[in-house]
Amino acid sequence: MKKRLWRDFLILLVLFLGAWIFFIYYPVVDSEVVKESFNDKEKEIKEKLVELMDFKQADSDTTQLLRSLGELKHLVSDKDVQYELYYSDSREINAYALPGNMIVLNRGIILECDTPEELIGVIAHELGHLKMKHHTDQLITTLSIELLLAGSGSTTGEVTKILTQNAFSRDMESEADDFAIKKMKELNISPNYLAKLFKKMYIKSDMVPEFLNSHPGMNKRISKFSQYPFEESTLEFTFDWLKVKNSL
Amino acid sequence: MSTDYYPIQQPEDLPAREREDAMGGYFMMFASLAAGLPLPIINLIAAIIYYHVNKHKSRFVRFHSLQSLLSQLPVSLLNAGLVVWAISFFKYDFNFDNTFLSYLIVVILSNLLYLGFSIAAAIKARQGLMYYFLFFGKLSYEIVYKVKEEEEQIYRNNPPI
Repeated sequence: MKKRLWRDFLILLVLFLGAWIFFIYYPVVDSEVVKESFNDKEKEIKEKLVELMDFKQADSDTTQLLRSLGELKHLVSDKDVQYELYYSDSREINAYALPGNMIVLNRGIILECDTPEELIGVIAHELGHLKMKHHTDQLITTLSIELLLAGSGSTTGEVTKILTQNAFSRDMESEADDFAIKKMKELNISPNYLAKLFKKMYIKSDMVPEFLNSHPGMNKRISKFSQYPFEESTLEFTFDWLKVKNSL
Repeated sequence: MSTDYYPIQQPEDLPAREREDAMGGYFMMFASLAAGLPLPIINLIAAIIYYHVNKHKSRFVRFHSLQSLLSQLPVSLLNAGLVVWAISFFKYDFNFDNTFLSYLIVVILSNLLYLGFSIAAAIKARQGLMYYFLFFGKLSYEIVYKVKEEEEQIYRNNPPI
């Protein structure tokens, strides 16, 4: 019996490996075709999103604002991430990274920045999210939490969801802040520029307790970036930041 | 070492209740669907629970429950491998190539085969018949029907010294 068992086991193994190898050499669909179709789909979704949200791409030469944002984008680069920078006409003081390597800057956050260096810090922070693929982590975590708590439609389940997701999100924000600090140092910009921006945001923000917030507490972030002494940046830009802001 | 096997029950000896219990094991693959979850591991957990609940019933029920459970193990592993591999594309930028695509096809085929054989086995079990999967059928038969030499150990109470 044992011999027959081994024989059957080997038959199954050979069948599995044989089928796998067979389909590698005689593919039903070529992976290149699938990849191309994925890329086309991704491009299509991106275009639709840009159209729907009325995002404007920073690199285009149409306005002074987009030209200057394009200049900032070229400064904040990373060899591993080819990203696209977009402008959104929203008043909300916010910037965000989207899957498909997109960074969106709202009008609100641009108006809040007194210097282009502050905005560079914001772009670097969002680039950190893209570099560390936080949106994938977030998606996997959200899915896992949903699955684990599936069926618990109770308030306890909802509270657990909010707390765990926010805690995870705060870690990601912290990592992105660290990346921004590193990037700003590489560009000889003091991370203290971001502390200045956060202070302005702090005054305008609603006081949300940290455990309910997806970002680390603003006080902590301000202290983190304030550790670095403020030094005037020596970077030179081809645009006048005040004029750019006035054009909004 | 004993090579004796317990006799296999014939359809006419099996009450309807036992046939239904034997058939039930193969329906554990739909457990996650019933719970509304896309989690293959739930099927496996359901099959394990089902086997443990039914293992003290007749050998016929035990055989079918065990065959269902054992055959689900490799399918669950293959599915889990697919999920991990797919996630790693997004996380670590793995190359999407023919090796992955062919693995995906083989996993889909394995699931379809497993589904087909399970339905066939469930029908047979309902009819009070044995149905042997390749490898898993023999393995389950070996575990359930082989006569084991009972090692009876007699415990005796002794004074403390």
